[in-house]
Amino acid sequence: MSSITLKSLSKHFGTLRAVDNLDLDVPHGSFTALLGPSGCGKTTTMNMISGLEQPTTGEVYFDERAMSGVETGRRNVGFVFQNYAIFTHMTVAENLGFGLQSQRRRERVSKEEIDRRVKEVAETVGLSSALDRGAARLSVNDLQKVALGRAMIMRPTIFLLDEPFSNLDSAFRAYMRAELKRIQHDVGQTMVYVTHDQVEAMGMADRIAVMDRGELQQYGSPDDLYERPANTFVARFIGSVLNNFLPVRYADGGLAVGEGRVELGDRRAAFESRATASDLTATIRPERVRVVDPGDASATIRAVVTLVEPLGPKDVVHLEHDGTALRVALPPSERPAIGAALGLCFDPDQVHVFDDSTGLAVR
Amino acid sequence: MARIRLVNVTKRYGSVSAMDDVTLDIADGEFFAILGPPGAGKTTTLRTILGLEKPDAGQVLLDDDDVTAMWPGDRDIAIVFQNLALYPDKTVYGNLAFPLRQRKLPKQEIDERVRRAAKVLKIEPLLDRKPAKLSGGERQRVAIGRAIVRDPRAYLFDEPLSALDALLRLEMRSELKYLQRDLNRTLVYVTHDQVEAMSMADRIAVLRDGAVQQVATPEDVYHRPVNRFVATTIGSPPMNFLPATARLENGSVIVENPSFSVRSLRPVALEEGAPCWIGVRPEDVHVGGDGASIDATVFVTEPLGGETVVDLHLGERVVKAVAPPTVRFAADEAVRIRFDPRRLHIFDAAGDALASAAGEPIFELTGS
Amino acid sequence: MKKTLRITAIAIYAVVFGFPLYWVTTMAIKPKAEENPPGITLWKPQDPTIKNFKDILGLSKTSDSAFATAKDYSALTPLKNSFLAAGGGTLLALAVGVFAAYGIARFRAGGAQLPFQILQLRMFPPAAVVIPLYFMFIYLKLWNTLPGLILIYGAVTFPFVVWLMRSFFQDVPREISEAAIVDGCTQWGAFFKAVLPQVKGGLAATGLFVFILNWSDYLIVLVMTQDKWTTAPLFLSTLSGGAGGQEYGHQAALAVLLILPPAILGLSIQKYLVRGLTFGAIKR
Repeated sequence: MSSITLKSLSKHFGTLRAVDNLDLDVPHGSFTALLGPSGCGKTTTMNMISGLEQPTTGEVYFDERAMSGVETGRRNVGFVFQNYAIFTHMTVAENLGFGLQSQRRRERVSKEEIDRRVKEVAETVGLSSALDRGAARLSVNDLQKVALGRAMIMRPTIFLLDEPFSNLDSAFRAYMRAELKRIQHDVGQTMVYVTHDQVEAMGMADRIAVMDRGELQQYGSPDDLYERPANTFVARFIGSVLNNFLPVRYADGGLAVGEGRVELGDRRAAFESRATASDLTATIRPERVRVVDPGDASATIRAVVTLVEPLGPKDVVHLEHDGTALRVALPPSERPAIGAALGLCFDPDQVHVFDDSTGLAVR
Repeated sequence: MARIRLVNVTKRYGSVSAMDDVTLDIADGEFFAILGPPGAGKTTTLRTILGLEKPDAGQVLLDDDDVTAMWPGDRDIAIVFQNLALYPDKTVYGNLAFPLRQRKLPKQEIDERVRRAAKVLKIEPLLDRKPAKLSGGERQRVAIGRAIVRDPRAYLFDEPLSALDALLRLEMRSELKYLQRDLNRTLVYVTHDQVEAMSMADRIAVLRDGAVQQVATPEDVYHRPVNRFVATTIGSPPMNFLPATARLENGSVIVENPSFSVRSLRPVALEEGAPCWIGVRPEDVHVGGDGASIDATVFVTEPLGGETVVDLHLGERVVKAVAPPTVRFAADEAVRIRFDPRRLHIFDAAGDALASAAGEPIFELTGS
Repeated sequence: MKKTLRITAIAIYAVVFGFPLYWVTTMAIKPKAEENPPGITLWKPQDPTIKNFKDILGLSKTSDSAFATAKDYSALTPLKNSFLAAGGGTLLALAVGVFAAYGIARFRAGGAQLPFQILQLRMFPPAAVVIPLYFMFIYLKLWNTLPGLILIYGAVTFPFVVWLMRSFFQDVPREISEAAIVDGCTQWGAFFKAVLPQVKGGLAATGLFVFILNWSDYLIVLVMTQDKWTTAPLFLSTLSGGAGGQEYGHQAALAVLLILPPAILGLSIQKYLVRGLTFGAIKR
């Protein structure tokens, strides 16, 4: 078990800054996700943690110990990847025990010990009933469990997972996410999980490092990211429904939003002290917008319905206001017609404001 | 006009049936989704409609013409392949113009059509670039553009968004829906992502191992799935299935699970002692609150921001529930849960649906 | 330690492969007197001359040898023959092989066995078949003719074209030709307009490879030609046993000239070559 600290970690490929000056503290025993779109540097960061790539500048520490010069084989990291190298000519039990078998002499692990640990790991990942089955006959889902078990049995200091579930069908993926989270919680291993899917990161991780173009955007709990996004990138990237972005202006203790107004109350101080009067963008989550009749006085703005997306338990209703595309969530029983006008209420607590020139939140 | 019909189409590769007696009737102008896991036969179906695959049995009809033997290029249908298949040696302009040049259209018209499509898809600044220099999202648009310039009678899209990042996918979903509406043409859309199918399609065909499971509107596949497979495929997180046994009492059927029972107020085709399944979606499982009477323990909570998914142990089974985002539970915490009786389903042992409440009060929950 | 070993190894390779080139270029510009001097052989020419080249190209009026006239050294006709035969053979092999390769790659023409059957054609050492071919060609009146030579060169290198181009065609996604079909092309149109442009590199690499094989062929011309249609490599060998004895200088000059066309061709298609050589190598 080990904590991971990244200090000023950078990886440059010529002029391309794949990872730029990354500072990150992964506490031991935590489940941390590296989240971002492709090309954001998450896989490169993971490769530097594992030792597969050398940093251009900066340092990786496992528990205060600098890892430069320590090759991957000696870092005691467990890998779980998409394309798990499962040996199809062996049984599940043999696959799970493979790493230990190879190291038997070095680690001085007896055959009984190997069997015991194989059974233990199979129990943890849910393969106890498949131990004697040939790996060639496993379903994709079970193969994933074998991959996980094979990494776990080596009792690595740190687990690195790179989008291991993207090959699985969505029902099983949902199941594996909960399983993995529970396994991590029970076993207490430090896990670093790379993904571009924010649902996975939000559901499983204790802390998420959101990255874009090599730079860290925000590092915090799922709650932090969702409720207190640090910049527009995080506000856009997190959330299963596209966030709402509205151009606004600060005016006398409140925000002018379209023809409406949102009172800022105590928050006005942050706006008044701003040196430049650059443009502002406000975000409010579709799930947090209250929908009322267009004639209702409490409505902040009025918008026209352009599209309805029925998702099953709820509808995502797309609207247009003054050229801006907006979305709200409504129960299917309240589905509006295309072209209907709706009143949208913005609760000041739910509105986040960002400075257009920096993209950062105004607090 | 383009009504597309497949009648009893079967396509085999060796001993495997990629399409197994598939019959589909797609209305003109419809946004029709074909949904299923990888290997279900979705792409084969699309290619059969287009003519790139010849059926071993059955017919393909466009409007009222049997086109089963017709050359793909003559069917006036455009396709966007899953791997896009852009011409790497041509510029974006060249890619868009290619189909028009093949049809020997006058240069002026080609230019007009290309520029118009580029405008709709917002790729005008990219016209001189080659595909290698475009991002994934941009390439996607060019592939769609190449289909649009032809103004065909119908469009076929093969998992157009699957190669894109989650965020880009979200952004393009509504764009595609708007696009189809503006084009006003039949669109057959293949995907493995149920959110895409649900949010965009007028009707969805759920496929499994080459066989059509159900063809219905999003509401119907969601509320009235015909079997467990469809019920699992639609909706995220997937539906919970709890094992139960049927008991006949005073003319009504009660299905019993160790933790609770459900009495059906309508006839259900189950015999005494028959094993069956109770299906309930996570959004219809409520943790705590009024009337919550079934004991369960929390296994894991997944805070997704907009909502929290709570995994619970109910007896030996894991049940997923959806709770408001502010809710937090500790692992192994004991809680009480409640199922919404107007959202229950009963499936027989084989997995076929026997009854779905779909909002109607046809079930009554009783404690165990 | 590892580094010195590596450098030593590279140095040895460089010498072993570089020396013949060095020998041949220096010898080509040495006058007759220096060809095989008594005593120590000096590698650097003391008195460089281009006489050997002039002789080879038929530009000299006199010769250094008492036993042969200037004209005997002229390699103009053999060189011309080489160009025509190798060039023609290459084009023939490409023309037939490219279509065969596409048929096999795209449509699995001939079943699973055909590619191997074609390759087997080449498994036979040419020496084994050249005698029967000799008799066949005499019967067909193709012996010592240009069409005959082109035919043989084409047939003998055709399997290489198929084998190489098949792999390049396999790397072009099927959907590219399908997209072209859907866009209104026939199968032929799709092949020429959509698929072929994708394998330009492979085509260049294959063409060069085949040309070099044909250009440097010795055995086939030895048996299949005489005087009139002799090609340069064969002519080169006659220089060694002719009336003038070992004509090192002329041989070297001709050798240098023989190296030039493939080298120039390679340089001119270099852009396509690098991509082509490795491109087809990875099967997905």
